[in-house]
Amino acid sequence: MAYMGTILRINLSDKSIKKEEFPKELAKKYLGGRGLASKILFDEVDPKVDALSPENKLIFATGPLTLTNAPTGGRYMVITKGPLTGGIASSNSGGFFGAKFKATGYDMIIFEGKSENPTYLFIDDSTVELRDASHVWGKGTEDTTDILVADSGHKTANVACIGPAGENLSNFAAIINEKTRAAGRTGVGAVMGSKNLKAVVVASGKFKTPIDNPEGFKAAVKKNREMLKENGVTGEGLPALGTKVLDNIINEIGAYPSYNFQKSQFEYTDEISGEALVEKGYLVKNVACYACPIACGRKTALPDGAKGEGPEYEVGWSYGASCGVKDLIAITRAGYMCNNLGFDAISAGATIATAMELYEKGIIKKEDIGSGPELKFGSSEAIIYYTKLMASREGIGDKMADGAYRLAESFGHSEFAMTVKKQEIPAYDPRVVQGQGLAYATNNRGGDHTRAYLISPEVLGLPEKIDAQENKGKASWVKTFQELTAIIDSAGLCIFTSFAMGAPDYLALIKNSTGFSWDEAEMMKAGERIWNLEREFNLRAGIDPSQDTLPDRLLKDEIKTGPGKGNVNRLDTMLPNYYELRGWSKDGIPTDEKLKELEIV
Amino acid sequence: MKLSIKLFATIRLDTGLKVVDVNIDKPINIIEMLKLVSDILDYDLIEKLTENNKIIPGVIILLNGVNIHHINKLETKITEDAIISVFPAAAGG
Repeated sequence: MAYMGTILRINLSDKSIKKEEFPKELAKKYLGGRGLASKILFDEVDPKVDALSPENKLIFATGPLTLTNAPTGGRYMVITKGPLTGGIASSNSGGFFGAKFKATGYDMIIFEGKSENPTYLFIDDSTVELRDASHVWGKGTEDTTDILVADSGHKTANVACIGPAGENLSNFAAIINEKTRAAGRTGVGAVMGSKNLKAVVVASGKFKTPIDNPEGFKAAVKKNREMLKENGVTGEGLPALGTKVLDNIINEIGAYPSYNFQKSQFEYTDEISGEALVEKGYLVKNVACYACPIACGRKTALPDGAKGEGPEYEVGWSYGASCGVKDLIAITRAGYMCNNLGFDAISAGATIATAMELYEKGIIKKEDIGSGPELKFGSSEAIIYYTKLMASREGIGDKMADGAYRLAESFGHSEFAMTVKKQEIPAYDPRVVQGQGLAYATNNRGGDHTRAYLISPEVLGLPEKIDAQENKGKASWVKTFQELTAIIDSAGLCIFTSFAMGAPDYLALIKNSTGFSWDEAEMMKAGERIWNLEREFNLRAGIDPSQDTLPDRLLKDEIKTGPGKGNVNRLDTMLPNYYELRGWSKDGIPTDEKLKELEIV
Repeated sequence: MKLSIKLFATIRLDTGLKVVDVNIDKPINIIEMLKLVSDILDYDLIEKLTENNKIIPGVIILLNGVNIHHINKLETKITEDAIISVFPAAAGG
């Protein structure tokens, strides 16, 4: 139950479309979505293949709670081998596409091979077919969505597509649905582009998710919705100010990286904060994804009439503080551009910040940027110009489109790339939030905060306040968060629910929908299984444990000013404990015993 | 002593104020400071930030950038010129 029971397998090389039975027994071990799709990738794809070759596969997956009224029950995930880290790539998105896709009667799509010409997949209740996409190739996600919705004959059709960034194989290209929601990180859009797959269009769906115990499920949904409404964070803070409420919080504690992590506070935070977005009149209203009672989305409009969504906290930071830019209009516009060009806005802004530091240090020279504006911190003109240049891969934009690490490495100075496993680190300085640093370093998808959001206990005090500067005990927190997040993702829910909900709440939703006889320990074991499987994929791909680290700047250079003054991240005091808790060797390799215990091998 | 109380998120939007400066002639603790500022603003910070004399989960109060959870919570004494940052329950990602 809770699954539609059918997987679509689309071979883009020979254009064959097969319908396969959903692997129910595997779902009892990997739940669905991210977990189950990772297992399929693990079984079917050689981890050493070139991520952008036809041998790689691209999986769109839903979870058992996608297309239910469980709070935030509308998410889908994209799993593949990624070009940015070279390891397992997994990204998920909200909006409405995921629920609409599942309503067509399928749980998952596995794309194989490579289409000779630009193509898109069209799905409705009775049709699954590949169609010509040559008329939208080269277009942004906004035009692509409008054209393909019109072509479908269904005004309410939903489109997930790539923009020029994905077509031009930028390592941090995203997949965008409904023009503004992104499966953003790890370059899943580049894999889609490498297959000449422009979009997936879901025109209509009539099916509902079958629920094992409707009464029990209804009661669990009611309880969780009430908890989310009554919680100060999910019921008031996020609806009012969205994720950008964090700007001032993180800046005030001295963990808001600026100027490519050269500083840990930004002197102009007040001018670009979530509060400023409201005070300056750019916020139009908050918007919600499918079945979401939180509604953290921001519909915004600029004085010149430009409209869109965001910026979210991360985009506001990557193009703002990280690039030293205090111009909220330019930052908001850059976020709109990332959605339309199909970029992960964290990596895009962070890569420009890296380029700015390289330029200011004289490593990137004037002749390298040609007639482009100077890559100086604080330049609104530069963030707009180079975002566009990265999408088209013109000039220095070609190197920048490969990401911060490869850009800096190409100039012989990879030390200025603030990345983990070649993916750009997001908006929290791990010299102040120690556990978040461990979470970055051990993340299966590289520099990223959403696989274990330690900011929640270390800064926000949820579910309880722990000392951000303390190292002791952080390994346990990180392990637990990694495993519970794997469950939340795989179920098809948003991790923002975890500000109010705990493991027993997720268990009630999962058990009543699927009929699994899990207890909490078995649920967390599934999370551990997913985490270890992803780790094993990465090891086989060649990402060895020496990459479980942070840039030297964050390990050796003390913060010079602010509340975090004098701090570095003390990863060496946490990592051995983390490996031990995971039951891995002291060198960070999952032992045979652990892999057998988890039934991975 | 001069205290600068910086207001954020919905408190800032509700009151229209970014900062309130207060002069005090003797050390006070955080809860006393909140009462003082509530009276000045005619805005109930105690209700917004506390419940049963405890900080509401998700609320952040910083004394010179340090969370009072790690000092002495609402009993934390303010003994010198200080910047206090006050956030209602908030989160993001």
